[in-house]
Amino acid sequence: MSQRREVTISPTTRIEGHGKVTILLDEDGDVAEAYFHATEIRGFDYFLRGMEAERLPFIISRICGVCSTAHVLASVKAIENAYAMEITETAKKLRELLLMGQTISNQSLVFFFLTLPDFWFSPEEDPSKRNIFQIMREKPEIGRKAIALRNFATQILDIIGKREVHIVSVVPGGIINPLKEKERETLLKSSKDACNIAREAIELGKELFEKNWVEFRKAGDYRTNYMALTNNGFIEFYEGKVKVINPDGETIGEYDEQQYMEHIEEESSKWTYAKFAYLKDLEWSNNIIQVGPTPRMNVNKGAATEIANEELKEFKRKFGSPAHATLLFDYARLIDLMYACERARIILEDESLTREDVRVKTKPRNGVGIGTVEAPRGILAHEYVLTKNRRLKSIKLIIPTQINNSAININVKDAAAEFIHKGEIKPGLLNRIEMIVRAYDPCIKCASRSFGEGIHVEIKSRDGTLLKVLS
Amino acid sequence: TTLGNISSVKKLLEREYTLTDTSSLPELKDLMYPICSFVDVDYYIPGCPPMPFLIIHSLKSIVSGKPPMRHQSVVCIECHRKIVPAKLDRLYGIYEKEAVPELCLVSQGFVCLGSLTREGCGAPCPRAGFTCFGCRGPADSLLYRARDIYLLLVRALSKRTGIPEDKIKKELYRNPFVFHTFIFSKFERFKARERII
Repeated sequence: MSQRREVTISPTTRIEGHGKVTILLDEDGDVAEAYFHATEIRGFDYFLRGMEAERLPFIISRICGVCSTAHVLASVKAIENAYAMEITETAKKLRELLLMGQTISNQSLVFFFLTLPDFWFSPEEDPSKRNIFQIMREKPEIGRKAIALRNFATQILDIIGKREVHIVSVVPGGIINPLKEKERETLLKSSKDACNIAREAIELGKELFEKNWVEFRKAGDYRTNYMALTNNGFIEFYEGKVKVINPDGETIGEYDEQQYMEHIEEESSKWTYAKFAYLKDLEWSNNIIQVGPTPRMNVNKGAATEIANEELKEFKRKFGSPAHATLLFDYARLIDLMYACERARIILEDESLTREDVRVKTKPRNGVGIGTVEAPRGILAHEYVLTKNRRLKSIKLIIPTQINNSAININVKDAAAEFIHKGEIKPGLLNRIEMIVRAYDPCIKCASRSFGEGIHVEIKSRDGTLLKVLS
Repeated sequence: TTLGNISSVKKLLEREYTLTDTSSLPELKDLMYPICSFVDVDYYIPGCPPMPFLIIHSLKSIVSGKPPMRHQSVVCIECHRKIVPAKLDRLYGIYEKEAVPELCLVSQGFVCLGSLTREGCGAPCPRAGFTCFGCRGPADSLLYRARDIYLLLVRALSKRTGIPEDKIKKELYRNPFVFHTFIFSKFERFKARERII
């Protein structure tokens, strides 16, 4: 075989957004390079310039329909930071509750609808059956529980955010409407059910995980750096310090939210519309950082809620700290889910949540503002430079998938090397690669503010001849 | 280009990916095209995102063989706020002051697009105290060539706030993004007016 060839998986399925994987083969038919592409571009960074600051949060929320709430909160925090203002405790609690709603909604979506079919069925199962609908046919109560959990999350967003998707109630200065006592009681009641369902989900996840662990471990085990928000060693979503640890678990950096942007840099690449993000402090050879569920578990030593804390301890006991295996993202996501449900319940139990002091007056001024939150997929940061007349001069967004981009690529390359030898492609390649990509739950829409479709793999020779398409 | 062809692809790529060779990626089209340029569309459910109950109602009627109920009027008729003509000296941004709960947002000086936007959503945004930003696009009566949507907004604002039209035009002109959600309406106007739910 004298030609170089290329394998493409496009579209990658059961992920959020449109992705494509290309594997390049060398002269011997072994894997030379593997890329995970973002195939669309939306240009938010560009067309938002000149926009009035106060219109930013709800337009930026359109970057993503799944994580719209996290984007709104990061955006509002950035504007508040530029205006140098503090919001009230009540508003902070309500915002954290919204973020918990976002986390529950996303993590339950990913677990039940996107990744559960991978654990439930054997890889040899007919692909037309490997989906949530087949699981619902076999066990209808799982479907019902998944929907109940998402219903609770949507209820939070609807009651406090005033819309189910793209919330409108969060504004610089706080929240528009205080929570009514009756609404608090309704939510509190649902939150108790949600905690029970989350607990069942975690048990189900653990059972399936143990069954498949030997197989899963093969999907990738990389020693990388990890980054997450932390509140004195405890898991934190709304505000905290950014902490980076190395593969041995030693802290190599801890920044305030506002310093974060000084340490991180973006770079574009010719084979994907998603930009890469990397830490300036680290050397190139050692610059793979991961963010998301597993890093949250690795960076923090505990969780502030009871069951999530026990699960976190068990996670660390089983897989070590820091834990490295790629598919642990799916496990850690369940701990996130548990934490979010419990945390939502705790916030809702607090009667002072219905206080009316939810908004303070804003004093617009020019300057730089940075807002950081822990979105379901990892640290999300927005940086705006505002002019004197409250216009946006420049914008920089660091999206979790941009940071994970390098890790995804290395992982995909190794998986490809395992399945492709001397130009022969072993069965199971498509499935393995999709599982890896899915574990990171890449939000392509956000990372490129652009990126589309499910996964298909194309195999091409170096000169561009298409040899095989898997989909 | 996603949000209504505001900037050209060429400019966007120059700005964002100056030194980048994107030849190994799918080519970007020069414009965003509405879906009706490629397939026949039976019904449109506008909204960002479309309200869940609208999707449910529409599907139910289609399944039972009836055409779904159309919403032709404006958001104001679903909003509980009272329109009281006011005497204001300027327009306000929605974060500049707190809105009075019962009063029309426009009467308080906020630029709310409710008086132009298609009803059917139940007015969640103005009810919550946030201006309508027109995600459901213009109402039926505005989808005629002769209608100048911009002028209608200026008139509505002027009538309800008491600010002279000239001054409102000037203030609105400074903000070019007021109508970004209406941009695709020109495609809809002639082809699809009867099929918007």
